Amino acid sequence: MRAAVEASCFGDVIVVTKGFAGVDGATVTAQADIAVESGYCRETLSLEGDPDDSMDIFAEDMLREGEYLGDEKIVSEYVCKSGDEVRYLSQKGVKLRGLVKNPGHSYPRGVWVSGVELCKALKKDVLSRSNVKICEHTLLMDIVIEEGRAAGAICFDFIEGTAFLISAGSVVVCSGGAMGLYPYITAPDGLTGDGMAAAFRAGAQLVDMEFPMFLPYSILNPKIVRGVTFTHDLAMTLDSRALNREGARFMDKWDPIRMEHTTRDINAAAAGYEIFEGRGSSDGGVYLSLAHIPNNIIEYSAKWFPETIAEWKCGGFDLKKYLPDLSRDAIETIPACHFWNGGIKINAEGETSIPGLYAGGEGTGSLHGANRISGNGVGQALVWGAIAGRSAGKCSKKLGRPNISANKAKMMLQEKSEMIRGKGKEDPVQINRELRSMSWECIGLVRTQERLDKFGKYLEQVKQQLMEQRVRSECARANRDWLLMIQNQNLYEIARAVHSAATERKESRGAHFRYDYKKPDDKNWTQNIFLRLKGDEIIVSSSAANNYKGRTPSLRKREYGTKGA
Amino acid sequence: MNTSVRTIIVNVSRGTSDDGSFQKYHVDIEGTMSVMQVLNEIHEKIDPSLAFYASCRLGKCGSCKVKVDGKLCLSCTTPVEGDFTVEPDPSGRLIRDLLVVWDDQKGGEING
Repeated sequence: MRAAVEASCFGDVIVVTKGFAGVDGATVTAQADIAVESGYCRETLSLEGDPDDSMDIFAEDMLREGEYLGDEKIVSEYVCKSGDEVRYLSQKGVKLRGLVKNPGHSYPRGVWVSGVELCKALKKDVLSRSNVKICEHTLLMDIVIEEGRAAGAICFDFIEGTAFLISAGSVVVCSGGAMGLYPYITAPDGLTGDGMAAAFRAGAQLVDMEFPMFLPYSILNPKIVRGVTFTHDLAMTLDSRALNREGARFMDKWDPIRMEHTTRDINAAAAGYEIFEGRGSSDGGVYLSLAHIPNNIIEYSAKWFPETIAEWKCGGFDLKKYLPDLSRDAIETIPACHFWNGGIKINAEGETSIPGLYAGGEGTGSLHGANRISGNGVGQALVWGAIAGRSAGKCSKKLGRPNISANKAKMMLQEKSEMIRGKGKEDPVQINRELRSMSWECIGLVRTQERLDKFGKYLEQVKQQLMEQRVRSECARANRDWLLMIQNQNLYEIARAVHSAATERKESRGAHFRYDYKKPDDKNWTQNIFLRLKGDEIIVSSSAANNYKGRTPSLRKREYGTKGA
Repeated sequence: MNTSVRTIIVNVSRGTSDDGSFQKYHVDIEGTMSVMQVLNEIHEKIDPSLAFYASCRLGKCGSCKVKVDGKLCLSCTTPVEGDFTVEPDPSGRLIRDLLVVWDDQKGGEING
């Protein structure tokens, strides 16, 4: 939506969205804090920011917590522009609800806004622009490349069941992460890496794909509220304790000072480690306990941290109905896939490795490195959506729409229509379940060479199954199996990419935890891993991260799981 | 909260506005499930032709609005423990079964 607003200043825009416009992605679900340099918060946003903060300190925090894999140029651009984006939101009527200091940040930078309010404001701005057309319930299937340049997209109208071509002077991918690769997620189910996969197939480079982020202490049980993040916020607010099935705390082995209030990557790796070693909860998670805190103190927290705990509600759920008595029992939680740190490689203009193809927001790489700290998810969507939209608009205006040969368009449409007919024998529901379950086991929280090898063999099997997918009913409109089939194909591409990068990185860093290489290896692996497709083969390359000059590894915060073990 | 495994009867409005009827499904559920989770069970295991909409699962995007036992609600956050009837939101244009679109491009009514 942010990209569409900016691109519309240069010409006509078509927005393609899988669901309902403006509310189909993850942004709407965020009870969001957007990280803005604290001095800017004070001077420009009238919040109680700290004047001692600076853009440099903000950038350094991001690079350090991203374990020095972020790109300095991309990070600098971001820290300088996130404040302007919050000011834009404020001008559009979004209420700035306060400022918080979150783990990993040296100063209070998290400007709290409601994701719902933000989406409403952006959507209103888009709808007010007469040169923006919105195609709802429409999936991006593939990006069309003509004479080495992005020239449009093959899309699929889910309601009518037809594939069609949009030709365009430039294409912007802002379609979020691929959290749907895993069974435990905090994001909407529809986040299946469709844009990343399409860009990858078109030849674009991906980066940092081994770092999907898992949010610790998301609810595992009861199932009706599985993936709800309220308990994570509770854990970060109060003196919470993560416990394994023996009732023992384990965070002292990972971060004995910050304990459960450490960054999310460390919490997630620690929980994964307990689960991997057989000390998990009954359904395969870990416990979160507040039972050592007197009940009146727990209740009082709602008064001083109302954004999180007021009325014990999260979205439309009244959690008092579903959570156990916290003054007595622990909650069963899981690190659930929450965000995609890597993605399409972009430069400071939002350009990808393909001319005419731009990308922004989650699902692009180089900003977070190995780990995203709080407040930079929605911020990324706004800053890089705006940059990509603007660059794409300029490109279209300058170069116009390329001609797509009629023959090529016909062939692409035929190929996609054939796929959607789905006359094979493989059940798309089963493929999806197995892919998610295997991804959790082999390329999830804890990776080992043995599991990666197992996954490599499994991917060969999925490839065959995908060619034989079957639409299980004859419905010619709004057939949900079509969604599954297209999404399965995209998740397969993403799974391959995560698998390749995780296999290559023989160390542990940020959100990537190798049980067989528990320590970070700064000497060899302060490197970004890049992936691109050549035919059907993934070409893996790596190069030194664009930020490491002058920084010493002594700033590094840990050796995984070894302290006190 | 009921934690047992049991079979409930779900009465679902099927078809289009020109050609609609109710269809009954016997669905195995465990504990308390949301209407959306039950619809997903039906689509995945019993009847792949069922059309409905699902997205945020948190009661925020507002796009899964349906009528359950005559009352408008969001399917993702509405708990069920026994038999129920589900129909599409009458304020939208019916595509099929429980899936509607809102022609004014306002999408679902977003929760505050």
